[in-house]
Amino acid sequence: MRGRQPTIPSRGAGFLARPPLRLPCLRGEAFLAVALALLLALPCLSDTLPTPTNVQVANDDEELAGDTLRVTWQMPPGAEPAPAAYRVYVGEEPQELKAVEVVEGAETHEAAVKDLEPGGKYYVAVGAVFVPPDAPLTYNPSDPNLVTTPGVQEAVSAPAGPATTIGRWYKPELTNVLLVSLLLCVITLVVLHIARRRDIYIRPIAALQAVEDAIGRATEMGRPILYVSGLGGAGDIATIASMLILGHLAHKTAPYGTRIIVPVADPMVMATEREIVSQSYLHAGHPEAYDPEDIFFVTDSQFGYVTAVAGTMLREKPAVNFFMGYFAAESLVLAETGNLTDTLQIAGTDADNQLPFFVAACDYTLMGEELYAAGAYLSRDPILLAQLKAQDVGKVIVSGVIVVGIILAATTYYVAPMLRPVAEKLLELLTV
Amino acid sequence: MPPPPPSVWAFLTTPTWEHIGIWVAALLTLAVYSFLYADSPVFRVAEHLFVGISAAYGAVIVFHQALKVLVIWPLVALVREGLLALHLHAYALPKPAENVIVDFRLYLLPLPIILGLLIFGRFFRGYEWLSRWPIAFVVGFGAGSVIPVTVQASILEQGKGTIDPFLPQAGEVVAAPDQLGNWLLAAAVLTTLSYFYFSAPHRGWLGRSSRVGVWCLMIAFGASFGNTVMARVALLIGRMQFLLHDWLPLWIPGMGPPGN
Repeated sequence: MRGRQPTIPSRGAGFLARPPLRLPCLRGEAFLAVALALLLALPCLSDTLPTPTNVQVANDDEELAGDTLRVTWQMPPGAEPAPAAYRVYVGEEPQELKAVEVVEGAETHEAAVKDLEPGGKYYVAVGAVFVPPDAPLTYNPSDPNLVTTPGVQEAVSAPAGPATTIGRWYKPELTNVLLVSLLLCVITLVVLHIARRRDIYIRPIAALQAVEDAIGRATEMGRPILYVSGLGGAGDIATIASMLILGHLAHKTAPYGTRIIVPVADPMVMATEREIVSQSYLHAGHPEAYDPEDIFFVTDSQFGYVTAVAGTMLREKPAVNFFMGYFAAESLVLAETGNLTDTLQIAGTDADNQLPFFVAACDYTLMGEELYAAGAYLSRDPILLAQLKAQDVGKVIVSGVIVVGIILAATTYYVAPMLRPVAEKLLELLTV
Repeated sequence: MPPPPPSVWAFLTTPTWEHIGIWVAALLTLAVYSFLYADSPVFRVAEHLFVGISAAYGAVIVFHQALKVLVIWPLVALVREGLLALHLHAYALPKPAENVIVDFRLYLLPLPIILGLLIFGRFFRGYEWLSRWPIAFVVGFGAGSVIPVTVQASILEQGKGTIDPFLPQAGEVVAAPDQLGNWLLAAAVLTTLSYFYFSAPHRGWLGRSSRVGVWCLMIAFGASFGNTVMARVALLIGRMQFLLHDWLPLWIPGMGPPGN
């Protein structure tokens, strides 16, 4: 557990801290009545609050990282009053526990304690939290030590444990994911073997055919190309696909001296794109045309970046705008600004929420997987083509499984209920 | 009777930090909106302020949340552990301010630090190639780590989600409109998949199927578009409310919407 000082409030501390109860001088029946009333009121006092029992703690086998413990507990049958919540305490020593989670509701009797150290030994206690009638439970979710309801009382169980967090290398539930991944790898290798021997057909993609026209337009107009690769990091798949397109663009424009302006929102992407563009210029035989200042970091703030790109569009007046990569809410702002400046716009993203805006505001749009296909389509590189072809094979297999599954399930429902075990088995294979 | 809101004169003579904040925010809002008319020096001031402040803020965040926590304090702890292991207690560094967990992972720390430093190779002529190592690592890790997630979410879950509605619990009766919906959903999934099939020309049955798939995509895009436009209008209303409710009464006493 990381960096917190464990403390555990003493049981019923609030009640015990009150001044001692002083009985007035009572005699006879009056004394008996008061004594009886106190006896009846006893269950309401903190010392008699029901305490969670049978606290069990064990490693959470669902978590591969081995940083989670699963805690379960029970309440005594017919315990009154019912707690408003439970508070889970964890610590490496039984006498040094600290609250890590508040579980609301009297009926919930389990919790997962996350962000522990793998391989650590931990003790756990559970406190039943009682609040006065009609008082809402208030606490700070980021610091469960702070339960701020006035008059709150708590009955904490004895520490249970220790339990050790255990990380795992393999999660059996994900075996189907592993098998499908391996199958796709094998298909890719086989298709790559074929692709190196003969041409592979890729259907025309309108937006990619327009790339050549866009380069021609920029060259003839003597204006730059604006290339926006989105907000994704260098490891983002859409950004990687975008970089392949940028490399192709740079290779094609280098002989004509057409500038490509690339404002970037991620320093690693900037370094990568500079490398790609410089290599493309080098391969095109025009290393002198490469200007690293054209690929520049703006800011990693989403709308700060958009503001700067919009300003660049108005001032540099590019002939073509490319929006390729991962985009979020800024997509429409960018595309609309480009539209205002009467620029040819080609967009591509795998962010399906943003595709509608690009479709509406751009001349051409690469939708989803078309963006991934662009690199292969433009470069005709056998490795990339093989990947694309393998994905197509994968799609055929997935479509086949879906069709078979639907036929099986529909037959089970409409015609032959005895097929249910087979259909359920198929669904089980797809379940993660 | 509530006190009258402060006027421009009151603001100029006795400004408060709250009022200054409202004025700055309002003027910057208007400066950004001036873009709707044309690019202007006013917009440029707002743009450069925005970019500069956000970049600087990002740098501070990176220093405090990444450099300090992931590099500096663990490095201090590592050096301290090394010196203690060599019984050089007199030279041992003080304990790091942050709580650093000392385990085997700490000894792997130099690897990512060196990898990160290699990116600075770009600044030294003849050593630019060094920066390709961290780039290759980041790109390779990004591409590789997404494979299982994609297989899980886009293949297995998608397939299961399409088939599942056709197999209700034993004895459960699915209403006719829901049955129709299930069949339409399955058709949309399969035809949309066919649109993204690149290995054959979209002619014949594949062409017809992919055309239906494009229609399905456009229907989904239309719904998403409308939904997002509503959210954007809500943002615009928020800005207008700020200008009318918070800012306008500051300089024109008594102005602002009714009930302000």
